[in-house]
Amino acid sequence: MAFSFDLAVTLHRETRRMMRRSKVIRRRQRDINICKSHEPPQPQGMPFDLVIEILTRLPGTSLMRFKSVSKLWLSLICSKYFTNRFLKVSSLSPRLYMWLCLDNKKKLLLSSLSSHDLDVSTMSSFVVDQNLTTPAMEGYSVSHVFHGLMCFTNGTHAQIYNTTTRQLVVLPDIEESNIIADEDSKYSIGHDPVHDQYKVVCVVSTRKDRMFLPEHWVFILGGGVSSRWRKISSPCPQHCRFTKGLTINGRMYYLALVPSIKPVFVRFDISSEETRLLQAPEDVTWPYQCFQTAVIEYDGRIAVLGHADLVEDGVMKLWVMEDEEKNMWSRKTLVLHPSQMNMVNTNNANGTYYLRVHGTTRNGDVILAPHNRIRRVIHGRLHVLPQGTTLFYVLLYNIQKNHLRKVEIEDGSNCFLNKRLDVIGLDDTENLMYL
Amino acid sequence: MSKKMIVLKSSEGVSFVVEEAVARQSKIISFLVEEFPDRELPLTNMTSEILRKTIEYCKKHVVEDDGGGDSSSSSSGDLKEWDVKFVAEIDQPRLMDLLMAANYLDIPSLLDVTCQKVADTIAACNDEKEIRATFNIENDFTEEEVEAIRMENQYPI
Repeated sequence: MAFSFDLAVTLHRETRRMMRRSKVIRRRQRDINICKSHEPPQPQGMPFDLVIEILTRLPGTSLMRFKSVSKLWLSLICSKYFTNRFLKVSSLSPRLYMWLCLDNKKKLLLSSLSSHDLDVSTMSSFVVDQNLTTPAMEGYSVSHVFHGLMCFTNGTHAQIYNTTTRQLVVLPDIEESNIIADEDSKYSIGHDPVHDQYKVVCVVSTRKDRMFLPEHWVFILGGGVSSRWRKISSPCPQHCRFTKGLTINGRMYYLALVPSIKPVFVRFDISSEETRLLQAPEDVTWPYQCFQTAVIEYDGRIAVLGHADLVEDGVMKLWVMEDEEKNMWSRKTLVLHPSQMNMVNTNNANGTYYLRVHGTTRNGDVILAPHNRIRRVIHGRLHVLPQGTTLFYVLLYNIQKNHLRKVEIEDGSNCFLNKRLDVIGLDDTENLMYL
Repeated sequence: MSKKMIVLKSSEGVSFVVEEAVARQSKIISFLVEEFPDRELPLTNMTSEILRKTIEYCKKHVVEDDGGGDSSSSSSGDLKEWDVKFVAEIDQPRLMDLLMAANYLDIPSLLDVTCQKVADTIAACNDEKEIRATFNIENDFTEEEVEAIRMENQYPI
């Protein structure tokens, strides 16, 4: 038998390819037909899969700048296969996103720069020096940041912004809804892992004759200009949402009220679009607890963090969903160490200061940002409106270690002077998705 | 105890005698020594220079893996530093050859460091023209097409 090393290499490589291939779902194969095993060699003899290996290691900003290197690079960077690959390998420190309020109407959308060298568990400051503002954002505020995508809202209007490609698209209005015109609409972005799609979910509800009539609307991102909002046809039990939604593993969770003014925990499946009401933790009480309660991810599970007593007493309550099917919650009281109390209560002289939860970092730290609140009566109802603060820092709280840390927000481009800020949140994802 | 040695032969016909444990970091060689033991392995598309570099990398990594046991953080830190220096000393055309060799022989860690180095070089380029020149890539766009991409991008270049 003649020995051929090359033949052996080819054999081995084909085996590897077949193994890899079998894992990839058929639909995705359609997207990668450009990188089949026997593609023609590149001008400099570089196989296609190596070009992919190299480009996935570039920062998203570089990819956007270098799309015009060649047609090959352009089609690759824009392909869904590459976008998915890129999303997975990205391992950057999170970026802090914030609004800087110039006056009552004008705001700047700013962010810190992400880096491979920074570690959020040890860093002492975010240097904010990136200005992402475009004129189209005027009048909008951010309702949600997810996987490198932001949702801007202005009354009933919504826009989606990709923080990596800086593409901004205006979503069509939900015209058929009877509710949406006079209610605050709540938009969230979620990922449907079954169909590998990003969806914008709009939850609205109205109160009529002691009934809560909710509507869930869905918009699929990346579907082109013909995309429309679709009202979910599956039955939606009566409820009215009062916390932000947390989207994780293809599901969105939030706290809501039922007509008897009792809190419930709601699970919305982003793939099947089914809504289920679960029991809320027993001692989440309306309205005292509810204003300062957030759904968070804790140790890979769903949890509810009540922090209404944090600023005054240094106490938080944590309810962890132990068994979703059986509706079982465990409960924990977290008491801040006295030496760390000065971080939460120093700025509460006039009582308008409070801390708001902005999700968790990848290593499990809860992100708390100071906010001012003003109470205002709009259309006969009391609204608590967030207002910018002059406190330029966020607090990172590690639940397991019961440790609080202050991370300063540094003025990287000398524009903070006498301004107020409104923290949006942290996000460590670079997403190349074309909206 | 004498260590088992194997022979790798470059495209110029130069033989390299390497400890099997060193060579086995290549998944392909690992597979081949099991299938065809006691054979000289001809690597017809690898020059002596690139093969020498590849072996140098594998030697460094096999020593650290063995000696460290559950390799402490400092040793893995040192190794990382060594890797950075290793790729920094290689010029661009040879780096590409080494990257291709790492891919051909299936040495994931070497493929990772070489790809990262190339990516860093690309990221440091000022514009697409510099990338094309560095990597010998043909520009197949017309001026209008480049302009159209730029317009669509709305990205500060």
